Formats: sequence, C-alpha cells, structure tokens
Amino acid sequence: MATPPRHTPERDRWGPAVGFLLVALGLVGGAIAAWWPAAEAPPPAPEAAAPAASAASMQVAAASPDVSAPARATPARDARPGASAPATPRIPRVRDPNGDQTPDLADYINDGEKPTMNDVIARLHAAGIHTGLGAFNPPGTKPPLVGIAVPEDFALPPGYVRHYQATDDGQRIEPILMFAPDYQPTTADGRPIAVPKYRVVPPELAPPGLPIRRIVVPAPIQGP
Amino acid sequence: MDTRVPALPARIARALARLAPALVLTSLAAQAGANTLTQNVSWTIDRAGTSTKYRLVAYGDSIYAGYNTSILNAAKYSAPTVDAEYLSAAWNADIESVRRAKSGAVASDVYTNKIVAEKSYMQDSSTRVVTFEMCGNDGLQARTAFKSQTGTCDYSGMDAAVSTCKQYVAAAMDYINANAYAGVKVKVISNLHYPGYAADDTQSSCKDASTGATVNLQTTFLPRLAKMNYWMCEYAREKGFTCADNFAQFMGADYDSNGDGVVDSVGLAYVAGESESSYVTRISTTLRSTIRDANTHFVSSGTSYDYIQSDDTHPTYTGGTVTAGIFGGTTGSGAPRYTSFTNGKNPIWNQYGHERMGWAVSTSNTSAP
Repeated sequence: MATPPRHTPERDRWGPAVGFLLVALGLVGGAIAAWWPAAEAPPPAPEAAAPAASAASMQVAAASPDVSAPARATPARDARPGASAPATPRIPRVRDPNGDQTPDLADYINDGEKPTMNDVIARLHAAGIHTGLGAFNPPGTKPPLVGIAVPEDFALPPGYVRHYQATDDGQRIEPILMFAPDYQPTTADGRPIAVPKYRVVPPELAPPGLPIRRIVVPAPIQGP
Repeated sequence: MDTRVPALPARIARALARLAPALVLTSLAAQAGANTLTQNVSWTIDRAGTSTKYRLVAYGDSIYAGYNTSILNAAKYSAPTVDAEYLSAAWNADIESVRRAKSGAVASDVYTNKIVAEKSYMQDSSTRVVTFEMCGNDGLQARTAFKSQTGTCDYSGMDAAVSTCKQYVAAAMDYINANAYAGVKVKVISNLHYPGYAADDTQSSCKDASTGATVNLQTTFLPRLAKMNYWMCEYAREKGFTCADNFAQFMGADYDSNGDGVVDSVGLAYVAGESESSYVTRISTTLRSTIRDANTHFVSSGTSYDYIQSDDTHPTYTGGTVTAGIFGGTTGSGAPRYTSFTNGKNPIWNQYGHERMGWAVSTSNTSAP
C-alpha cells in the first residue's frame, strides 16, 4: 500500500491550524492570567490600606487638634469596598452586533475579578503601556482639599473665597475657605504673610467671627 | 568555533511557524485592547405628560462616558445626558441620550470603532441631536511621552497628535453629515479643557535643541492644545456643526478678572471665522493670565468650584452613577432633575464640570425638534 507523502503542499501552508490556535490561546490566556492579579492574590502595597482609607481620613479630620495644616483628603475611590458586594456580576462576553467589536479591558479580566482603576493603571504601566487608560492619572492624584468649613450664610470679606469640591462618586463636599488668587494676607500691623500651600486658609488667618471647624470629606458610596 | 544555533527539529519548526500568526495577533490585541474601556449608557429623560421621544446620540471617549475613576460605573449625568434634560424641557418630550463611549480611546479609535462602527445609533429616525468629542487621549499620550523625554526635546509627537486630531475631527464631521438620520437638527462637537494645567507649570527633563535649556511644559502644551481646539471649532463652522467651547467654559472665570471689560470665559472663546494664529495667540499669550486650572473655576471673585476629579483630568459631576464598564452598560430612564430653566440654565449649571459642559452643548439646541 502506498504511503501518503508526509509533506504535502496543503500541510506546509503557513497559517494557523485549529489545534495550534487553541494551544496559542491557552498560552496567551495563561500569560494574561499571570499578568493580571488573581482575585486571591494579595493586593499591591498601595491598596493594602485602602479599605480603611476613608475612615482614616475622617478620623484625621475629626480628631486632629491641628487644623492649621491644610491637607488633601485620602482618595475616596480607593476606599470603595467593591469586593464586599454580595454577588459579583459576570463580564458579558458577547458583543453588541451593532457595536464596536474591538477588544477592551473587559476582555482581559477574568470573571470574579474586580480590579480598581489604580490596579489597572499600575498593571498597564508595569507592562510598559502608557497609552489609553495608561495615560490617565490614577485616582487620588489630586485629592480634595481639606480646610476650614465656610457656612453658606457667612459673609466673606474681600480676599477670601468659598471653594466647593466634589468626590469622584459625585458627592458635594462642604465648601472650604481659601484665599483669592491675587490676595496677599498681612499681619495686623500690615506685614505680608506667606500664602499657604494651595491657598487654603489656616485658622489663625480666618476672618473674625468664622467658627473654626474642619470639613469632613464624605465617605464613598457604593455604586450600582 | 561554530557559534551557530543548532537547527530546530523540523516538526518543531513547522509547529512554531503555524503558531506564530496566532501568537503575534493575540499579543498585539493585548497591547491594543487592554488600555481602553467601553462605557456605553442609554439614559432616557422621562418627562411627565408626554410619550413623544427623541434621541440624542453622543460618541466619544472618557469625557462623554462620564468616567469617574471606576471600571464598573460612570456618571449618570455626563454632559450629553445633562443636555438631554435641557432638550426635554425645550421640546416637551422624552429624550433618550445614547452615549457610545470608550474611555482611553484616541481620535482614530473613536472615529473608527464608535462613530463608524456604531453609526446605526444615529441613523434611527428618532435622532435629532448628534454630538461627539475626541482627541483628549491623543493629547494625554503625547504629553506623557514628552514628559518622559531626556536629552534633546522632540516635539514631533505632540505635533503629530495635533495633526491626527484635525484629520479625525474632520472625518467624523463628514461621516456624520453623510450618515446621520436626515432629520437631525443639531450637530455639536465638544472641544477640550486643559487637564493638569497647574501641574504642567514645571520644567521638562529634556532640553530644547536651540536654547539648550529645559522648557516649561505648560507653555509647550498650551499652544498645541489651542490648535486642536481651534480646528474643532473651525471645522464645525465649515461643516455645519456647532462647537461647545469647553476650554473657555472650564478654564476662564465667569467674571472679569483682569479688568479688560470682558468676562474671562467669554474672552477665551473661539470667535467664528478668526484665524488659527489669532486664536492661538489670544489663548497662549494675550489672555494667558486669565487661564486658571479648572480645579478652581471661579464663578465670581468670591466663589469657586472644582470642575476636576481627583485624577486631575476628568470632569466632576452630580446625580449618581450607572453601571458602565467591564460588566456592561446601562439602559434606563428617570424623571428629569429640573423641568424648567431660568435663562436656559439649571441651578447647578456652573457647579460641576459635566453640568458646565452639558450646558455648553445645550446652547446649540433648537427650539423645536
């Protein structure tokens, strides 16, 4: 009986074979799994203290006797207790037939994983990717300013500003007292005083009659 | 000594040859895909006493997505949905805001994979408004790359971003003009605020070839951003769109801070028909002193609002969040927050970034659908 030749033109054609394609997908899947942090893996160091971040910031705000040092609040988004959700939804793997068919971040996350944006940006940077989401600043790059509260009905003298902020999850933050951009504060005898960092007014430079109370940045709320 | 690598056995070589295309493709896909996040939302402003419904379609990146530093959800009231609320009152109708957005997408991605690939959304016969924004990520990426430079400064990446932006803005307008439902009444492009304006007031690591000195990042980036913004508004004028000048709305105060007799945000606005050099000079030099980081947007000399989230990039918002991210998007509806508007403005129009942008888009609305 004649033996078929081992190297037919058909067999030598350069292109992906089904079997090898599956092997390739398996290898790539494994690589991505290694690239992406497993759900059980310990979080990177910056996130280790995240669950307590909001509470910590509130404790600092409430307990610190020194309200003279303006500070930026701990990033609110980091404190979101995403992992405590009762049931984790599944990532849809079927695309809208009328929509964009190109891959995005969701295609590289395993079901059961719910990384934060800080995780995503850190992982992209670790992979040398500084485009797209990799070009975004991480949440908390410029957190809300913390300073003296300014009641809505308190009439501010010239040179002062009532400054309103919002959290990343859309909550209004109580306004704080700031110096106007071109205002030069002075001592009682007229000597100029260095403008504090970020122009946040310290208690000793607050206008007369303003109750000294430091604002508290609202704790994060759970999204949908 | 023979240093040649021993030849692979024939079967392994053939196997690698067959494996290579798949490996290369998936590797490239990983590079190209993992850095964007689709965040589509369809939210209908359900106005009492009417069942008539019109559609607003918005294409864009993280700005129109309502990105809020989460990969799970986004602002319910990002700028297009804010505009839908204004439209609902003006037209006494329900308004479906269809947001087709991808955070992290560059202009070519928004054009190819949102505007073109998802054209069906603007072809629906209920569509009356089409709006888009793009180029922000082209700018962010070019800025990131420039900041990392050492040695002699190379400006070509930033200039290429400007060129690419112009190309895809023009293409997007042409495509929308050719493909949107014929009954569309309003077409709007939103231009860009300057995120991180204050943070960029620092020197580069690289040195300019002609001076041998480092360059100020803000001074380097501002005229290039101004060129992008100019062409967004100029192409809009030429191609039947209107331009929501978010640069002026975000970066200029709502009072006259320099005593020139003009409110800052008005003075910074694009003037229809002006030349590129006129606009860029006005922004980069003449009125430079009136530009402030949108972290402190002054609505008066005594009151300011932070228009920017903690990432120092994306606009603030109010009104809650909706699912939009790795678990998919949201289709939903709700009653309007505001049903009438004094002087065409809701009570918070100047208090959040997205409210400001949505109001700016709304100034192009027609009185009837």
